[in-house]
Order: sequence, then C-alpha cells, then structure tokens
Amino acid sequence: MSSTIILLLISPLVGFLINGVFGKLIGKVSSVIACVAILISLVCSVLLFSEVNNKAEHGDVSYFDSSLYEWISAGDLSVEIGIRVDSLTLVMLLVITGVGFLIHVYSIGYMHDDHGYARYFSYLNLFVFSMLILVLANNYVMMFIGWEGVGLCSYLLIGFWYEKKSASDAGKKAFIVNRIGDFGFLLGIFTLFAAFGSFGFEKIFHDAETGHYVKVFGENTLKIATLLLFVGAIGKSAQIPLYVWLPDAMEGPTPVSALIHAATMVTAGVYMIARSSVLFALAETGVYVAWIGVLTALLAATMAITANDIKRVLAYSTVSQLGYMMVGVGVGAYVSGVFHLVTHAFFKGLMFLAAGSVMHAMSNELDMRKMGGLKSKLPVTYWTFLAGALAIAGFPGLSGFWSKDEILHSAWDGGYHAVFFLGLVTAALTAFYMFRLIFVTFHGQSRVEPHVEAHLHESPPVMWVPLVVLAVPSLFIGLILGWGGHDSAFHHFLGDVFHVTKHQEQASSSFPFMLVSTIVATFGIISAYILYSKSSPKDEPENFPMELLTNKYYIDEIYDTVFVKPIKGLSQYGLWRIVDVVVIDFLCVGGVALFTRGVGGLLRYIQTGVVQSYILSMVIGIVLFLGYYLFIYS
Amino acid sequence: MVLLVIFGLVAICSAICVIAFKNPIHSALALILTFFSQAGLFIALGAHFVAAVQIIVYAGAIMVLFLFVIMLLNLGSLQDTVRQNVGAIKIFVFLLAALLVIEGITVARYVDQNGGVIKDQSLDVVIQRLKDDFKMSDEDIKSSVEKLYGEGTSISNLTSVQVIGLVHSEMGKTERIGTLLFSKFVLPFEVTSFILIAALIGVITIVNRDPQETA
Amino acid sequence: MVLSVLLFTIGVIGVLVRRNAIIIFMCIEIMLNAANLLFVAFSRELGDSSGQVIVFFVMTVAAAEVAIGLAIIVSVFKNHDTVNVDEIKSMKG
Repeated sequence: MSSTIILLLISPLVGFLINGVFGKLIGKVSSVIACVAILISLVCSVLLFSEVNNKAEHGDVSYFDSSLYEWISAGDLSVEIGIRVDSLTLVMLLVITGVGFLIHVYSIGYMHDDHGYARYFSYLNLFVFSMLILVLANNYVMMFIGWEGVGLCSYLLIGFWYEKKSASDAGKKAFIVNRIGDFGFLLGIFTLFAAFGSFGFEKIFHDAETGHYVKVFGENTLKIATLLLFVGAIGKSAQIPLYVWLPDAMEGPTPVSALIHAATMVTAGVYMIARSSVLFALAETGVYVAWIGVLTALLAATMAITANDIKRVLAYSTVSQLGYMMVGVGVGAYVSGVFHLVTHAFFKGLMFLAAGSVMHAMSNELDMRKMGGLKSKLPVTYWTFLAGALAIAGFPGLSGFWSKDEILHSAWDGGYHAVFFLGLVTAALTAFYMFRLIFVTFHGQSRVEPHVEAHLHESPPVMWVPLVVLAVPSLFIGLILGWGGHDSAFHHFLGDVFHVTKHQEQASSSFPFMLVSTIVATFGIISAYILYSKSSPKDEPENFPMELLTNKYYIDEIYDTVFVKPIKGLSQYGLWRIVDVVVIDFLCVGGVALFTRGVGGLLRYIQTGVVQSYILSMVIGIVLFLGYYLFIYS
Repeated sequence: MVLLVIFGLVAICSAICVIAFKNPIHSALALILTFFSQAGLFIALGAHFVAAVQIIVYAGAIMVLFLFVIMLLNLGSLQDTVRQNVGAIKIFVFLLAALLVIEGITVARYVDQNGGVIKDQSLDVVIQRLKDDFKMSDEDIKSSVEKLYGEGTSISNLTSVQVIGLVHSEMGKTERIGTLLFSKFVLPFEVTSFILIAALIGVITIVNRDPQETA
Repeated sequence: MVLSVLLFTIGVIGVLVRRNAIIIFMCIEIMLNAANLLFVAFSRELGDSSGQVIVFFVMTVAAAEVAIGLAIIVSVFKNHDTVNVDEIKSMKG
C-alpha cells in the first residue's frame, strides 16, 4: 500500500519537474505529461480506495498511518514526514485527482494558444502535488507545508498572465490575504504543540480526548487553538473577513478557477476543520465556525445577485457554498460538510469549465450583458451548465439537494435555528442568482456584438467531454451517496473517522426539510425567470441597495484605506527613511569606519620613535605594578 | 656604619652629578667618582673582593671605554641636554622612588641589620656551613678565630655577636669567594666566558659593518 | 638598601631625561651598580656568600654589555651623524 501512496504523491511532482525544466523544449507534449501524471495519481487513488474498502469489509483496520522520514529532530521537537490514509483522505484524494484529471484534459483545449503552455501545466502539477501533501499528511506541519504550497501555486496561477497588471495584483492579493490566515494557522499549530508536545494527528486527537495535555492557556487552550486554526481556514476558504481575494482571483485562467477555487484549494480549510473534528468538538468552538459560515454565505449570495461577470458570479457562489460547508462542520455535521464539499467540487467545477467554454466561444468576453440567446449556439455547454445550476440550486433529487439539505437539517437539529433560517434565505438567493445567470446568458434575445458572433461556435471535444463527464456526478452523486440521510453510504464510509459523539443522530424525519428546501429553490428559480428571462439587465433598478451590492459593499475600498495605505506609508516613510538610511547606512556602517579611524588615530601617539618615551612607559608600568603589590602586601 | 653613610652620600651626589653635567666628559668623570664611592660602600659592607673587582672592571675598563668613545665621537657640550617636558616624568619617577623606598624600608625592617639569619642559627650549623661552603678545615677556622679575637680563644667560647662577626669577615675574603666560585658556581663561571666571547665577536661585527647596510 | 634604591632612581631619572645617548648609557650603568649594591647588602644579611659571587657575574656581564652598547652607538652615529636620541626617530609611527 505504501508504494501506491508514494507513486500517487510523486507522480505530479515528477510531472512538475519535467515540465518546469524542459517545458520550453517539449512544447505541446508537456500537457500530455501533466495529464498522464495526474492520471497515474487518479488510478492510484482508486486502487487505494478499493484496498481500504476491502480491508474494512474484512474487519481490518481501515486506515494507514505511518511516518516515512524524520525531518526535523531537535531535542523535544520532532517533525516527521508521515502519511495518513483513511476514509476522509480517500474522499479528498478521489476528488482531487478525479476532478483534477478532467480539468487537465480540459486545459489542453483551453490553453492551447497560450505561449505559457508548458509553464501552466507545470504549475498545475505542482498544485496537485501540494494539495496531495496537504490531504495525505499525518501531522500539522506537513499539512501546513501542503497548505503553503497550494497558496503559492494559487499565486502563480492567478497571476499566470503576469504582464497584465490586474492579474499580478490579484495574485499578490490572494497570497497576502492568505498569509494573514496562515499566521493564525501557525499560531494554532504552535499552541497545539505547546499543549500536546507533538504535531501528529493521532497523538493530538487521542490526548485531547483523554484530557492529557498541557493547558497552556488554562481551560481555554483547545478553544484558542481551534479558533486560531479556524483563522487559517478563513483565509484559505475565503470566509468573512478574508474572502476578498477570491473574486479577484478570477483573473487567472478559467480551468485554474475551476480546479483551485472551486474544487480543491478552497476546500482545504474545510478539510482541515474536518480533520481536526475531535478538537473542535471538544472545544465547542464549532458555533463560531457555523456563524461565520452562514454570514459569509449570505453576504456572498447578495453580492452575486448583481454581478455581471460570469466568473464573478461563480466566484461569489463559491464563497457562499464554502460558507455552507463551514456551517456543516461547524454544527458538528462533519460528514455533511464533507459531502457538500464533494458535490460542490463536481457542480462548481463543471460550471466553471462551462463558463470557460462560453468565454472561449465568445472570444474571451465575460460580461453577461453582452450575451444572450446562446442556448442554440452552444448546446452542450448550455445543457451541462444547466445541470450544474440545478444541482447547486438544490433541485430535488440532484446532488446539491442532498448535501445542502443535510447541512440545514443538522443545523436545525443542533439547535442553530437562526443559522437554519439564514441558510434557507441563502438557498433562495442561490437559486435566484444562478438562474439569473442562465437566463441572461443563454436565453432571450441575443445581445452579442456582431464581430464576436462570427466566431461563435461550440468548443472542441477535448473541452466538452470533461463537461459531460462532470455533469453526470453533479446530477447523480448526491443520490447515490446521500440517499438515506444519516444512514447513507457516505455516512457509513466516513463515519468512523469522526468518532466524536455529538448530536449526530437524526432527531427528526427529513421529509419536512426536503419539502421546505424544494419550495425555497423553486421560489428562487421562478423569481429569476420572471425578472430576467425576457427583459434585459439594463432594466435593473439603480437605487442605493443595488449600488451597494454592485460595489461589493465597498469592502475592498474599506480594506484599502484601513490597512493597505497605512502600511505602505509606514514602510515608505517610517521604516525606509529612518531605519534604513539613517540607522543602518550612516550609523552602523559609517560608524564602524569612523570608530576604527578614531581609535587608530589615538593609538598612533604611542608609537613615537623616541626611545625614551618607551622607557617612560616601562617606568610607568613598573610603578603601577609595584604599587599594586605593595598595596596587597601592606 | 659611619663609613657607610659617608660613602653613601658621596655616591648619591656623584650620581646626581652624572645626570646634571652638560659636558659628557664631566659626566664621565662624575661616573668614575660614583664607582669609587660604590667600591667604598662595598668595603664598608665587608665585601672586599667585590670592591676590588669593581674598581678594576668598572672604573678601570668600562670607564676607559666610555671615554674613548666620547672622544672618538667628538661630542662637545650639548645645548639643552635636558629635555623640556619633564613634568610628567618627574611625577612617575618620584612615585617610583617612593614605592621603592617604602619597599626597601619594609624589607629592611624585616631583615635585621646586624647579623640577620646567622643569629638564629646554632653554632654547629654555622661551623658546618663554613666547612661546606668555604671548604675550611678545622685548623683554618681555628686560625681565623685566633686572628680575630686573640690567641687561645676557642670557637666554642664565642658569643653570638662574635660568631656573626666571624662569618662576616670570612665572607668577604677572596679565598672564600674563590672557593665558592669554583665549587658551587662553576657552570655560571664557564658560561660567563662564553658571554664575553660573544660580546667580543658582536662588537667587531657591528663596528665593521658598512654604513650603507644599516640604514 | 635604601641607598641602593635611591641610586637606582637617580639612574632612571637620568635615562629618561638626558638626550645624549652616551650619557643615557652611563645612567644605565648607575642603575646596574645600584642593583649590585643591593645584592651585596642582602648577601651580608643572609650570611650567604652567593650574593657576592653573583655580583661578580653581574659585573662581567655589564662589561660585555657596555662594549656592545657602545659599538651600537658608534654605528648609529655613523648613520645619523648625531647621538641625540630625539633625532633618531626612524622607528616612528
């Protein structure tokens, strides 16, 4: 089993190295190498899955946790490179490699005119590698390494077209905002180490349950640690207040948005909390997670209503859905949260790729207002997009329905009634903005400009095949995995990972909830239809709330004034002028020279050529010496 | 005791003169006087041999050398031979003097002026020492005692003061020094001869150098 | 003993104060003599003749040293045409 794991991990790394080093030489072949690398990983994941499943059925221990290599060993501090494969890991592995593979294939078509072709694929492989490290880790440090790695790749890929200022700015923004979260994460890791003396999951979770740890901050140790960890998740998974980078991240190529910002990287935060479920449950800090999650969901949904850029709508949607996932893990329904993660990966990934298809057809136009009536021109794209939209809106029987429903149900059961209602409102908004997008883009009169219209065509197979492939699970995976609510196949699979006893058991029947969410979803879709299917978006009212929403509540501007400008000013005037120029250059460097000269100048006077002065020094010495001794012995 | 004082004063005066005179030849003469008074001091302390050597070597050979060189270099009276800025120097030297004086007094109090260590030693030890160090036979001891204190005095009848006197007088005698020199201090003696040869060679080398070489 | 100290001090003063190299030398001799005096005095105190023997050696060595020293002075004189130590400053710096 371990060789499979290693192969799984190494394959994308090799792909990255080959493409990175020889990219210019091999040109188009790099894409093949990259795809093959991920394919290998995918196959390995499937193999692992079957292995673990077999073991489970035979009653064997169904996970694999071992240390490969001791990286740092300094006294009490020991950091190892270790792997843990359990059901949670497998779920993540399948999602990452599966969706990842499809996106790689899609990229062959999408990026084929780009001159940074090889560089793109090498970055993609590096990303997958980092993400794999993140989910395969058996200790926090290694997870953090993967965490940082995906952050780095996100920066590289968002700013892929670096000649474009907006793109490179977006990349920087992503990285910096992420960093803030990372800081919290690191502090959390340190706290955990201080308390538990180790970074490994097994040890920490075990000791946490038995209460056998150093209470560094008194009784609140676990609370503080988990909150700090959550800060990291806020940054990585774009929650309030660190979500601002995700919409701007749309500057990157669309497949990147699909992979990183829908399916995988942003879910790392959710994964991390799920992995640390033991700690969160014991610390009872899930409530904060849930609240921030639901507020984020609501806020993002409101912003999505007025966005006119297809990818922006999808970006806000992602933030919103991530909020849902946070609600899931926050209320203790860890399996439900992960379930939503899986379904979201499929339908959001699908929608992003479909949007990419639209862009490709529309010669890189993104503004919905310039589209319309594309249904007939781009059939495959349209139907797959529709499938995704129905899924996310929670249309009965489709995947989003199952996963979202479970989360809301658990919220209600857990006593989080307010969260439940807000979640419900958000669901309505989700359906609304999603279908607004569909109607404006694909239905109604065509507002496409003539010269663009000339090039309008369906995407090549290498692009629409992945779309179709993704559409299938988007529609049905919810059914397969989620039938039976808490009794579902998915729950059985993941159940033993989250063996923290909470209010997991279903208290009430799920039928009322299904009914409510269906009503809400239908309401959203119909409203969208009424408002948008016939009329053009130019008819949208121009009053103050609209403006607020359109401008994203001016949050970016607020951040800029409050944080960015002061720091820049401080660096430029305070630190640079004073510290650098004066202190370092003048005082330190110049000072050393002046000092040496001064001392030298003084010492020069001792070296007269006159013998008698030397003798004088001797006499002085003798005087001092004798005086000293007399003093001692008198 | 009186001799000591007289010779001492002369010595000090002439030493000061050595420093003070402007003409180097005058200084040299003063130095000779110093040496002579030094010799006197030696005799007053009972070191006759040393005194003699002092006169022969110092006053005789060394001063002659000095005078030769002075005349060779043809140094006349020097202007301003005392350097200006003597303030600080005086202080230090004064301090030095003070320290040394204090030290001298301390030491002097510790060591008894008349007789010192010998006083504490028993007669037998003294006699033994006389025999060992100076290689005196019993007859020699007997004859010295008689010479000092009259005929017929036996050594066992001497008072401690007289014993001290005996030792002191024996100490300075040339025979005795010689005995010591060739028994206990043979090695240094031989080495000294080497030093002299080295000095000789050195001098010749230095003087015969080409002036250009030693610039 | 006090005497010897005094003599010594005078010698030191002389060394420091005079500028003529030869006279400085003479002052050195004074110092040496003072040391000899001390030796003899101690020898008398301690009843050990070794002191006097040592003096004998010291004198010998002093003689040798004078010889060499004077030779050096002569040599220096040949180079610098002066015996004024203030002017022989080639070691300055």
